[in-house]
Amino acid sequence: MNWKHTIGAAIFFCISSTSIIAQTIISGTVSDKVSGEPVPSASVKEKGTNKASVTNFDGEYSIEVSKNAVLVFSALGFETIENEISENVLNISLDPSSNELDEIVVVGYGSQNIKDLTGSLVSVKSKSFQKGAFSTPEALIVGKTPGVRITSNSGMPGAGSRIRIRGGSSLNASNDPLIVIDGLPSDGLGLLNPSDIESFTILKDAASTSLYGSRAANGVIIITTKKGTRGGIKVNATSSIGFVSRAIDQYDRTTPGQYYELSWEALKNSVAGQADPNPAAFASANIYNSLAYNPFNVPNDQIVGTDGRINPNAQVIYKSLDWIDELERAAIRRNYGLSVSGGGDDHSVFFSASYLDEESYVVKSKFKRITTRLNADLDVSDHIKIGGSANITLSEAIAPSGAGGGGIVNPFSFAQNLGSIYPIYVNDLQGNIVLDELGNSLFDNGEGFALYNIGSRPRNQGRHALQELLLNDERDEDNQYGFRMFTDVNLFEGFNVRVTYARDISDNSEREFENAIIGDAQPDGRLSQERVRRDIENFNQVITYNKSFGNHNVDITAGHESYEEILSNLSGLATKQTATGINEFENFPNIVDLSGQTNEKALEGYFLRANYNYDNKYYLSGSVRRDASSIFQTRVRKGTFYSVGGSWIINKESFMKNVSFVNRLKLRSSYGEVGNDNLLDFFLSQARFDLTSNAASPAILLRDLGNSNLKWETIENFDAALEFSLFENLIDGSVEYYKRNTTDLLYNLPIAPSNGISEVPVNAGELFNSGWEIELTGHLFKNSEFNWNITLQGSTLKNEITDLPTPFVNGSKRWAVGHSRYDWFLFHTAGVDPENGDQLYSVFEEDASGESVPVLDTNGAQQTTNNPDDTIRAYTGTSSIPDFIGSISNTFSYKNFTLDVLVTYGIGGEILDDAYAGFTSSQSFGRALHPDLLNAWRQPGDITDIPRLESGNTDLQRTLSTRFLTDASFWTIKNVNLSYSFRDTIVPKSLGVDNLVLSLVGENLYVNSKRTGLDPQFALSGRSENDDFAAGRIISLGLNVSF
Amino acid sequence: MINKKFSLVLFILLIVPITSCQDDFLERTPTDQVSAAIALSSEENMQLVLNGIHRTLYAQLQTLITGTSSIRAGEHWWVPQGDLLTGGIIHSANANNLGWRDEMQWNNHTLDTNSSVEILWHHRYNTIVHANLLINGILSGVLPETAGLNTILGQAYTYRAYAYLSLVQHYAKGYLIGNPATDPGVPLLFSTEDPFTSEPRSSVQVIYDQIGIDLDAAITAFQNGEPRSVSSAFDKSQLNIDVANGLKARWALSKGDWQTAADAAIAARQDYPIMGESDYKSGFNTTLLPEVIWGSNVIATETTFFRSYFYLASNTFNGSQVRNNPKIADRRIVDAIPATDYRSELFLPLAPNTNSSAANGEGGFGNDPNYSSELVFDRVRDSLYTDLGITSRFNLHPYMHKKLRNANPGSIDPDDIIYMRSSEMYLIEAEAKAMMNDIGGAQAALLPLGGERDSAYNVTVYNSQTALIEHIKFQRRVELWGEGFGYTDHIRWDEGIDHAANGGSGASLVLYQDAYQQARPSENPNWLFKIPLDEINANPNISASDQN
Repeated sequence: MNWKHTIGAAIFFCISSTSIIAQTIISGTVSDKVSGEPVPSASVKEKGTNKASVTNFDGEYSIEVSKNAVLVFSALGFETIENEISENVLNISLDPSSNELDEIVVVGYGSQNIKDLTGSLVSVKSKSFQKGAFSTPEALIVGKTPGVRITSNSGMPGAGSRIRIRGGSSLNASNDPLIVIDGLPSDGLGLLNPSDIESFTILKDAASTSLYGSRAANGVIIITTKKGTRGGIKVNATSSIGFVSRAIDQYDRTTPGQYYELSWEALKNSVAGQADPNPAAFASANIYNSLAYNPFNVPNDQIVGTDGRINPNAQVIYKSLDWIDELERAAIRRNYGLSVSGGGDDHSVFFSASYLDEESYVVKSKFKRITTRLNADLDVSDHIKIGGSANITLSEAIAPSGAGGGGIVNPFSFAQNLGSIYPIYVNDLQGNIVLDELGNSLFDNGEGFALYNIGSRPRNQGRHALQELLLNDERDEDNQYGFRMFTDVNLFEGFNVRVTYARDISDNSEREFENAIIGDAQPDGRLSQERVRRDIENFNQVITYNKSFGNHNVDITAGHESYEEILSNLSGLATKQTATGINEFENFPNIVDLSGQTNEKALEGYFLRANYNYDNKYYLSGSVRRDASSIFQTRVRKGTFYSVGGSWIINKESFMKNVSFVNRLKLRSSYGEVGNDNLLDFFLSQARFDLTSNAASPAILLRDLGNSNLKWETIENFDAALEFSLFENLIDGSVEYYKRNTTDLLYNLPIAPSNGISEVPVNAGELFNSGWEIELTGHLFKNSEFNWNITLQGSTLKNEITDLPTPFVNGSKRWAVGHSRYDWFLFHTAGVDPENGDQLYSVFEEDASGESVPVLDTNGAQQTTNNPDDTIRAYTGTSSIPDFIGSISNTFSYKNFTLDVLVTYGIGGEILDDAYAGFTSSQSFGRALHPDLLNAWRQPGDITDIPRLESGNTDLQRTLSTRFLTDASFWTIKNVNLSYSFRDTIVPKSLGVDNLVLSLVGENLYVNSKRTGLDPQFALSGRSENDDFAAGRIISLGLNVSF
Repeated sequence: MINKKFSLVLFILLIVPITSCQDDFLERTPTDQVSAAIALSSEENMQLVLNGIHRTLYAQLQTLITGTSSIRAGEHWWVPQGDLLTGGIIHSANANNLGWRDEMQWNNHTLDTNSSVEILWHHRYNTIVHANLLINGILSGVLPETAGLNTILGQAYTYRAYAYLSLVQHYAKGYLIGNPATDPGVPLLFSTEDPFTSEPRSSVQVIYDQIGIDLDAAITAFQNGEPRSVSSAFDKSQLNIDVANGLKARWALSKGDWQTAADAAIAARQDYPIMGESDYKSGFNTTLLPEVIWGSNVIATETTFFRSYFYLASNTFNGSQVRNNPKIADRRIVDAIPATDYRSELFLPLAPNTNSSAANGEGGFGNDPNYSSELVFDRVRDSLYTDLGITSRFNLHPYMHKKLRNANPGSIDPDDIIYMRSSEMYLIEAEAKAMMNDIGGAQAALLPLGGERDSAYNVTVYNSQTALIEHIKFQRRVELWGEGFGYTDHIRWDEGIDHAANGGSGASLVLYQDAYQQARPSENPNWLFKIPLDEINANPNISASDQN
């Protein structure tokens, strides 16, 4: 590739250029105008050049600049000021700006002052991050970003999250935002050390994203890592220890006695029970045979009386009936971090290392990660900067791979869904746990122990959630290696050229040994391994030009970028373990699968952006980008995406002079387009046959139909916002509206399976997302001792499909014009028939256009039926998206104490509670039951909303029905942080350090939802199986020392 | 300033090479897949496509067919399903691994969102799309006609006929018990092309006619093709003219075209002698058995683990389904097999009932009415473990079978699946001739089979049409037990299911629920498989009112 040559050229080019301009050294201190305290980490720059320095902990700086230079002083939380140099010592005091209006934020391919922005973005800097020793970066900004929804799919340590900016713009193309780390797109947030992050910038509208063109369809998250500080060496060390437990309660389930009573009822009402002249006597006589276990101290045929009640003398004698309890443990999370930063006039360096060892509250499961990073910026000359970063992360996760999946091997669904009479260990006739020859408790595999009056468990025979978890060895080792390097050349005043090259390599190794004793690999033993390498190479060249002519200010950015992603994989599966204890392929001679492939994607783009403002009052910006993607065929692979934006600083107008309560008022708006090519298949447009074999002879099969006409999905963005500060900056905030219209939707259209293939990729249809985002911050108290800030955030989301060739049903939803992709499409339950306890369903039929319409009786009321086959599903008028979602964050500080409290909430929306539906099914014996079933219909005349219990009947319950829709409203106490800083006390001095901070942090402290056990934050789709790691509640104590 | 100009020049030099490297930069192709154009470009590649269809017959389908799932591994499931649904294979205890109990309780095929109806449909149409690609590719005349190409064409036609016959027999009303000209059948597709709108349900008659046309075309193509080699189990996974004739015999029998059925059955079985006692008792685990006409050769590295035929139907596969729920045969059939018939030895009426939660409530010593001595109970149990090659973790149950046994008993190794053998062809010929009231012809067709199996076989006692038909039904139930013919036989004969009648089959009402008794197919719509909801939702030519 030609790129390699260019790097050489760039380096040569940089070295060849040197400076001949006269220099002088300026030094001084920077302090806070109000408090007089020194301001550390303030930036000192020579205007129009790259020359910069940073104040040290005592606010001191020193910088070599040209004569007659103008110095720009800026710091987080202070107004920026410019000063011409007159003497060699220049002491400056900065005005605190309560609302950080002069913050410099990172934007696409550059940075801008926040007041100059015409686009919509959120910048969260390290001091505003959620406090705690998190294992993933996105946890730092949960609840800090309106319009951005971060949900974790799994509470497993180290597991990533799903991030959605302003809803999903696609049907089933990727809805993941683009992640840019230090200027270049990367392979997700992955394994970045959270404490290396200096800031997140989330780009939401077209004015800010369209420079990223095709990859910005779902917004962009730009992460900047910490840089070195010029002037002395600063060391920061942190250590924390946390105690991990389950954050969300389990669903309620019946006691063993209730379980027997409900199962008796289900047997009595079954076909077999009703065939007997005396169904109650039949059920009393046969219920033990159906359930196979008797955990009580009464004989098998006397457990439930013919009145359906448990024998009053029956005491539960079995032990170890709570599987979930046995799967959990007290767990600990340890986290250590060290960072060193430093630098001189012409260089700055940042080094960090961290180690995380996080146990899950689930036995055996844990996550370990070690990271290191080196960032360096070096001034080769006045005009040339060279620098870069290198980072390595090594991680290992041990956890059951079946978690969240549908297999029996999933320990969560196994434990949760097993009836409450089945013990984890074999119990003898007296209820004592039976020991094996070695004296260990004997696992009950459910295959019957006649000696102890135990039959075959009617559910999951020959399987054991805990035993399998302990005997199997499932671990993922994920390593990331990345580097960035850049050369930045200031050719003449205001004109910069920056060439950047980056590689991000992630090596993921997944190893899964399944034991030969119990489970899926019994009796052979089985080993599978997969190694995946993702290699992302990025190269870009960007020119920027800034110039002011009187009141006219212009800056222009132009560039070229190429991106290549190579995903290669090697996987194997072999069986028939030879020796025990050796989990390498050598030991598994029967190779069932050995495969590998390489997938590639390439993208090339050119872009141009121009920003103009008049008198720092009227702003105009525009951008255009042209991208070509290897996913599409040559003829249709190029797409052009543009944006325009403008803003108006109203408070600078003369007519606002007398409006004293307004400190700042800004109106901005933008419109533009971005594209999407990501349907998670690099070769989407090509028709392809897969390779396979028949009795070892080579074979091929058509798998992907392809579509040579596929082109870019396009997202048109409109955004308008008002930003304000009022009453001497007591309140500041913003109100924003957006609408994103997606056209040429790229999706896998489900086609009739009678085609032999069930989907084909197409561009068809349109949808939009729109919403309001509101943020208000009140600086309620502000004095030298007590401060209180409160920030309220909230957003709405409306989604509607405006064009689609044919409607189609996607699981519990139906996608059709006029509806949201989140609209529920379900059977409508209509109560329970008092005569016989049947579930009643409202009757719908299809009209000529294929829509479900109610069938009315002669009185004009909707008909109901006892048979779900006699009706069809219909829209419920509700959806899984909340009406309003947001957060409330409070920061209190009193003297050296700080308290942060973050509350998140959602109002409205509905969840289809699959887990609960599972607990209400009496169709088969052995399954866990919910206590709500105690209110089930029992005899004619009963008025209840829980249908009759009946074993073997599939018509009494439809999971996809309104019966299981549950209000999704929730609120949580997400994070509480109490810290004490020893600054201004004698402690640091006596220890020879600068500062020492002690903190106590609680994460996921409380969740309030409609039903015990339900976590409405989990999935955007509004389905909840509850069969994965639940979120962990972590209480941790941390210590931070800097010197 | 000189430096700066120099720099600028360098900078331009630096930019130029980057912008000129894009042509091949954006051309990317997969390394593990073959483009559609190449796949059909030569006779060799067409054979690869054919091999692909062979593989789908027994693969975990989600690995090969988008939108399917791992739990229905093709014929591994469909074959035993045919006997499970009709009470040939009977569950002895409550065990539901992979949904096999739900299937038995008639809770799967009656639900339009269940994997059983979705995947059978999807799998058969996937066979059809590949057959269509081959047929259309060969008929386009681009490739020179060779014997090899004719063999491929013959196989493609045979597969298309096989798939449509399976579809129309599951998703449409039986030919002989309905009105084929008007009963809705299944969509008939000759290609899969944009805009993928598929077709409406053709009538049963139209589908049957097409199957006949395809089978005749297959036979013609095979006559111009190469003979199938016969050296290995693998060879019998390739279709040949005998398979086409065998399917033609099944097709004709199911539509009452008796003469065609008899003729085709005779043609199909010529090269496959009826197997003797030792082969018959060897476990039905290899297509190398002499009378096998067609079967899949499943090798160890192509295992589907627990999604296999023998996991669901045998009593020696080492899976929890088998260990806890040994499969038994209908005692009314087993008791009727003469002692002189060695097939009776494959069923064990006196196997000890070792499972204390056996569904008949007679599990465990003390509850088993066949045994009064624990010593005897234990001795019989242990000798059966030895005989079957299984461990004490397996349960035993009266009337359990040992017909289907793993080549490596007590393991999870895969075994071949047999789809067609010559005994079935003798029985088709006999049934067809009996239906034509050709008593002598039917007796002659039965004699070679009956005489081989039963040392005291006397065919002359079946000397009326009624007696012959009853006897042929009995022979099919015994000879083909566990091989999946129950479902289509019941529909052809219009027989319901009654596990209670005549002393009972041995099935438990608590376990079987609604499936314990089912009215005859002509009056009971539950026999029909539901059209998958996915099809109704995505096919503009089929609406909810077209559901079975």
